[in-house]
Amino acid sequence: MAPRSSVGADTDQQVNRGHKSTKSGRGGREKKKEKRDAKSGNLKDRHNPRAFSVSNIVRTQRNIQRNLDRAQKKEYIPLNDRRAARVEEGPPPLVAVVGPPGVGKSTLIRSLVKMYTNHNLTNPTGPITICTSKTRRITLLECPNTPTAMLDVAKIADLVLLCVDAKFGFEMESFEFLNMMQTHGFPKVMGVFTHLDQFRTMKNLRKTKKLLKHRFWTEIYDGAKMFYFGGCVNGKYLKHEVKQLTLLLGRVKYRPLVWRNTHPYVVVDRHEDITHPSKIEEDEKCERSVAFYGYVRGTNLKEGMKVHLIGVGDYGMVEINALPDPCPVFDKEKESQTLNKKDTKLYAPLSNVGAVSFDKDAVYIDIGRANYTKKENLDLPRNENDDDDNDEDEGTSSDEDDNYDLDAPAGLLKSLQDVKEGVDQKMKYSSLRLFKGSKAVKAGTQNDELEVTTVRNPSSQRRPMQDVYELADSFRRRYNEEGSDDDDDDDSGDEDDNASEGSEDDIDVEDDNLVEGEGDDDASDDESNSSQGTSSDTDNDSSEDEEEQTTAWKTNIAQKAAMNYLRRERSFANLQQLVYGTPGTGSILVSEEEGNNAPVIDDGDEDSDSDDDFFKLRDKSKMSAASSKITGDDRSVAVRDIQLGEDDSSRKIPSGQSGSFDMNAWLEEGEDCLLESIRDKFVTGNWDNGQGDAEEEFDDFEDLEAGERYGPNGEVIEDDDSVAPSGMTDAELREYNAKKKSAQKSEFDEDYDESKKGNVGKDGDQQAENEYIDAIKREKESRLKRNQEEFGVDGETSRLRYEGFRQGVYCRVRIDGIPAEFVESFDPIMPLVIGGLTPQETERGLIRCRFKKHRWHKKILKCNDPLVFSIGWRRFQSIPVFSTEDQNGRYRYLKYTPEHMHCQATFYGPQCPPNTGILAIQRLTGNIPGFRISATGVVLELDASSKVVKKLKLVGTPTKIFKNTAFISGMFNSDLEVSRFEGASIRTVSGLRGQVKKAIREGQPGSFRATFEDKILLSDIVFCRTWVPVEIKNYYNPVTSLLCKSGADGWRAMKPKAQLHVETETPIEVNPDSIYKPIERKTRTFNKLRIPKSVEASLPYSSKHKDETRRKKKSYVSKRAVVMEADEKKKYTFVQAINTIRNEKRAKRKEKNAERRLEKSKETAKKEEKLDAARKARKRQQHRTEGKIEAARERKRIRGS
Amino acid sequence: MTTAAASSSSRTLKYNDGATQFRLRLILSLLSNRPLLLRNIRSDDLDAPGLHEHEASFLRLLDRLTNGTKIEINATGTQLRFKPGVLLGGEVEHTCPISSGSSRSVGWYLEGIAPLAAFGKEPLSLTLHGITDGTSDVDPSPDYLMASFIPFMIKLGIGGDDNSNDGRFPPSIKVSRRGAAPLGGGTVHFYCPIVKELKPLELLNFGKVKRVRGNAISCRIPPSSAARVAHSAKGVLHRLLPDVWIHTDVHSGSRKKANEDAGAGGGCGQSPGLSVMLTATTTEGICLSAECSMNHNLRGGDSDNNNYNQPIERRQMELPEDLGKRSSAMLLHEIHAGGCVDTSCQSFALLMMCLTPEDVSRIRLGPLSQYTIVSLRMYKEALGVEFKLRVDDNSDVQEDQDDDDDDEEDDSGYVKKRKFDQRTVICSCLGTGYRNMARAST
Repeated sequence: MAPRSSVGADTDQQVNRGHKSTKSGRGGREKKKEKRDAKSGNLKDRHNPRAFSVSNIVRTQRNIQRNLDRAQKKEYIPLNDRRAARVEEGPPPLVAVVGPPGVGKSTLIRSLVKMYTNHNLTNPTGPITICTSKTRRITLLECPNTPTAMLDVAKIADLVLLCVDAKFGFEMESFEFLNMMQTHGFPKVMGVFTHLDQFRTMKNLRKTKKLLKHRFWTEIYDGAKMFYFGGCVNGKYLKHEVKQLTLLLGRVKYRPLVWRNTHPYVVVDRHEDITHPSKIEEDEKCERSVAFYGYVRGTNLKEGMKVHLIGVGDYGMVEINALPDPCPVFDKEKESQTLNKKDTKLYAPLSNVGAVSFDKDAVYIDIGRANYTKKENLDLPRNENDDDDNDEDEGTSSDEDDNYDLDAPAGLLKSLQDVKEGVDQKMKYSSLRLFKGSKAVKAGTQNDELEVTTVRNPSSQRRPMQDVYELADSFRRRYNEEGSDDDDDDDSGDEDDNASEGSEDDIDVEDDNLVEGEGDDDASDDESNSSQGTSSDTDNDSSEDEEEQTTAWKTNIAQKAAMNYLRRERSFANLQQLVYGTPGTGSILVSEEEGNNAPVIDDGDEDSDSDDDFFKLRDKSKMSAASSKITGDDRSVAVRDIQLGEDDSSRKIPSGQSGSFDMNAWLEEGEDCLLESIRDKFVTGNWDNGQGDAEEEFDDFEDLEAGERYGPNGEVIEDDDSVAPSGMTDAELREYNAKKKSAQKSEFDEDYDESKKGNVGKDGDQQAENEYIDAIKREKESRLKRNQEEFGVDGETSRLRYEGFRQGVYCRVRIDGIPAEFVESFDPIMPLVIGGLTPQETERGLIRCRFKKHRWHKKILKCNDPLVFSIGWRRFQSIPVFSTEDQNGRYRYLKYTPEHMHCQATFYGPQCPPNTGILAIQRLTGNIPGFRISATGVVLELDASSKVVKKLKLVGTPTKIFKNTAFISGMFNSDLEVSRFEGASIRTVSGLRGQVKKAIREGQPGSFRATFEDKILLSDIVFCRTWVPVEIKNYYNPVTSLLCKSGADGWRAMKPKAQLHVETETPIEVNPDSIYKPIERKTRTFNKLRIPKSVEASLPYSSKHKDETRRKKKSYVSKRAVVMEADEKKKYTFVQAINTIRNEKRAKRKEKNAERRLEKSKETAKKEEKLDAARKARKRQQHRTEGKIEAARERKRIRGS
Repeated sequence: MTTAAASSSSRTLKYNDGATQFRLRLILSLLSNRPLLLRNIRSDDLDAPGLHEHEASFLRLLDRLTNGTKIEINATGTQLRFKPGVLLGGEVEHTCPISSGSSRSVGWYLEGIAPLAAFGKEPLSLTLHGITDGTSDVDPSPDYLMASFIPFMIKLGIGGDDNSNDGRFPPSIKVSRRGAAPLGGGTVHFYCPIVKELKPLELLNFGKVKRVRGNAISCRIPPSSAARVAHSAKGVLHRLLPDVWIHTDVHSGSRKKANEDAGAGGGCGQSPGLSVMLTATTTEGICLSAECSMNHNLRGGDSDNNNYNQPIERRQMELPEDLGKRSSAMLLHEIHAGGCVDTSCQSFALLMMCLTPEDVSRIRLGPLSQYTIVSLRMYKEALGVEFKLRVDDNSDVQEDQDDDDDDEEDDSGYVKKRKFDQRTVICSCLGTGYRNMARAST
């Protein structure tokens, strides 16, 4: 079909060269034939009618099935990913650099830090958080080369940079680490091959690269990313090589892992020992309280959750606070697409970067490095003089050498140098004007006499404990402001409030208010009452300026209106408060620390959701304010005093309250009765009121008569549609109808198409399946969205209260009772992780798991030898008992693990959800040449008792034997034992089965009567096969590697028996019974069977014993000679002759055969000899070549290294 | 938060107010794996101090359902120490004691066990013997639990399709023999499959009530009275909805007759009783139930059992018609409240929501009952879950319509603002991510 190329008048169109049809060759011929056929009219449309039909039904069917199966396999519902939807909301992903010593891990980190931030880190220790782009940041962590640290890192890393010295090849550590990751959830892994510059020849390099690549791929997956780092300049890798790595780091997608999707954890950036110094002075080994800092990762970290501090132990969190992010992602408002080097942030508190670090309660400045000159007239950007306030949005900036602004730490420091008087003193003179016309509120006017001024100089010196709370408030409030845009900017009072000092006064005030509020309750209605409640708050707040305050707000009408609105708002917010109360008062739990009234988060919440705080001075003591708020409201009093009684009925209304509902109210009839009010809740009622969204477009037309059209039994839906909207012109009406009709039509079409598609069969199935999976995915997405939206609206503090500390929040966790050894032996290079535990995981019990000795581990594992397990967050030593599941479901005890098979292990330890991976290591310390990981497994079941049993054969001997009955002794020791086993089946060695009957008095205690299916012999051994439960030793010894200077080396572990034997040089004790001795079997001689005469007499003749004595004389028959007749004799001789001939023939044949056999054997021997020689030669050749290859390889190795 | 901080130092849940919310405390102890200490259990009661028989029986039932549980009761029974173990499930049979004084019905036990049932090692198949009917003002009846609790459990994915390796059947409660209070003698089977974890809940749309079903049960009283109950209940409900169907379930005391219809229920216990249970189903699949039973005048001579063998009308009791009307009024009251579960189910629903995965679960409830409020506080202490409670503005607009009713409301145990009593409460929480750790993986 050659299109005519139209070269014509319209020249502005592009003219393409036309297609030229083939004129010659096969194509041309066929074209011509086609043309001819078309002309003659016998052109066939399809030449081969079977071309597209199914030629082989079975194969086609299988093909289709296979394709479907493959498609099915590809479908999967992704794991519920609980990580933050947006990268900047989540915590920085943890990039762990792992490898054996000397491969260049630190060099890699140094190069990466230099690449991102242009900062030269001399000694990278601890987690290093860097902003890598506008929206991304990462935490770099180097993994030390100890098994404990490797285990910890495998549990927390989001991306692993596996460093391998290419010159040396893979080392055992790398494989060990890969194995650890496999059991604890496999994060993303990228290979980094270093020392590539040490290869001399290019060919060698290429070959090694290929070799390493394939080995790496078999371990991870085909196509796993890897990087090759050649040279090293100034202690850093070459820039372009690192650049490639950073490019990929920016794009990498992290995998969701099951454990981390269900557990919160904090990788600790740094920690502070906040124990009171005097306490330490008293006792150096006193238990410390330590504050840990880090991003919350995984799921939400909730208050009151138990945590496991890996390497230290289980603790409860005493306190947890959110802190401003030290390394926030870049401000999105700025236009620039990329991140300037100048703006990049580096947060590495353990690597000596930056001199200033901020805490909730202190600012630490490393004076040793900072060297600033004093500068006059340095005023702060805000009018508040709160010392911490300026630095809130600042992390520690990397280079504070010269280019600082006022917000920078350097500027702060200078301002600090200028401080002449304490903050508190300044605060006294500070004033705040809330409204334009209002009188300024002075801080100093508030109870000066109570004030105890404590001059505080922010310095690196630690503070005593009381101050923590005060400063906590200020810090938290600032954080709240950030989060929820709260309006309360008057922090003036909070620095001064010292709960213990102000308490007396506050209590008085509170009581006053209480009385007032109750008096008003009786008099006024609800509305005025609640207003009283709020006003009482304000009253409470300004205890002395009450008069002044009230006059001020009477004048302000706008303010009044706002108050009205807020009151309305608060009536809803109150429900929450009514149920849960304010902390401290709402508890029915008898807590030990009743006096503890520092609920940090909760009164923060009060700040955020009660906006009317805006209109008053901040109170000194929050607690009193809060409690008065509660007591000021009459309803809350009612709620507080709920006494359910001890009946424990969910229905019974407690005494003193009337019935819940009035029956007669519901039975009334009439227009306005109660019954009519809920008519719309029934299908027969009005459908529009409740679900306005469904028919939004019609709402406009019928809003006025909505109530009237629906009678008690009105048909709703038809009615609704058929009634034409009134108040329209004809044209509009027509249009409206047309629209409706078309809508219906399209709807019908859609439905029809859908149903037709569904009928097609496999297509329909496919579709249904896809829809199902899509629906699941959609549901998941909507759930995620819901999670984000539900608590987000109320501001940060209440969000923290409902859902805990979500991931990405930088938090400070205070833990008390940590041994002093932790602080003393802290090594910053060791990863420090706080892992959250679910309540179930805090208890200990028996864990049954599927278990397999690692195939690279040299020896099999012995039952009851201690192993170090790593499960979940924990690593601990315990004593496993191995077992196998028999056919009948019995767990049979095993002495050793099977060599290449799974078995089951049961051990005592902290509980862990089923399907969690387990890793076992025999020895954490010492120089172990081989593969250190002993076994891997997975948790199957948790229980309080185990079902492992061991076979026990009780052996006894018969003392007396009757027919089928025998007295047996030696099996049991007492009659009581026998009675326990009455009816038990027993067996003799010869296989006779029997049963235990009853104990017998006489003889050895514990002897009993037994019956057998046959008479047993006195020499028989009788045994009873039983199963005894195996005791599992409750041994649990957490690997507290962070409590010793030398890590796990200093940790005291239980030693396996073999090791003890070696160390103490005790020989293995031998049970003489267990020694195998040659079995001596006496040949049994059986006496001749004698049958008693009486018996024999009664036997039938055939079975009678025939006693034939030798005859002295020949019998009659034998004495007679036989004379044959002639004819007979002839026959006889003939037969004899024939027999002779036959015998002769047979003898000859035998002889001949023997001869032939001999010949044959000679021949085969000859052949065999030849073959043997050939075989030998071939073998020799083979060994020779193998030897050559080996030698060549050896030579190469020697030459290469 | 303080409580949480306190609990972190010692994980034991300690209560000084005795047996208040006895079952719930034990269950929370089991679910949160925290030991429990109850002090002052009726310590000031001179007649019957310490644990009552039914409470001891409940403890025994829990002991049978678990492995490794330690229960310590002091000599007077006024102090209980409970250390939770692993939940087992399986087939359990239990006889609930019937004492002359305060014996509780089977529903009391079932209501307590229901939150635990799905988290055992094996599916739970529990058979309980005791009182099944006639105590609806105190305890839920098995029929009520079947109508209200079970649909809710199914909504949470218990016995659902995707995680039903172990239990293919949905949970169920079957009454195989009726036994009215006070003598009991009934038998109830409760089956519940196990789950790995629950599904998050989103139950906000009430929909419209499309049908009402019910069951009028009579034991040892003339069969006509059940019909009368059904008739009068229908009379009220027909004013709003045509689709009302109330079964009558008549059990005669005579053994002969009982044998005749052995398939149906096989007779009933010794006491007469009349009760009715109504369930409203909405277009969104929400089931609201209400039940009430004939008021036994227990004050006068409950010790002599002959009293109960007399015909029930002779003892100055509520007329069956009144009972029917009362039940339908109660149902309307539940519908009026506008919650997606009925009032007696609130605390159970909220507890199950606490146990959902770490996703947001939401539910719309009517006015919170006092029991629920106290439960909510306990959930916070034991599980650390604080609900976000917000009054829904959109739920209803009729504010000033029925003032007289409001006053009633105010005095009662419903804690709401006067004006907004018809407003519903949307409770949302982030689940604790509770997983069934007892269940063995293969």
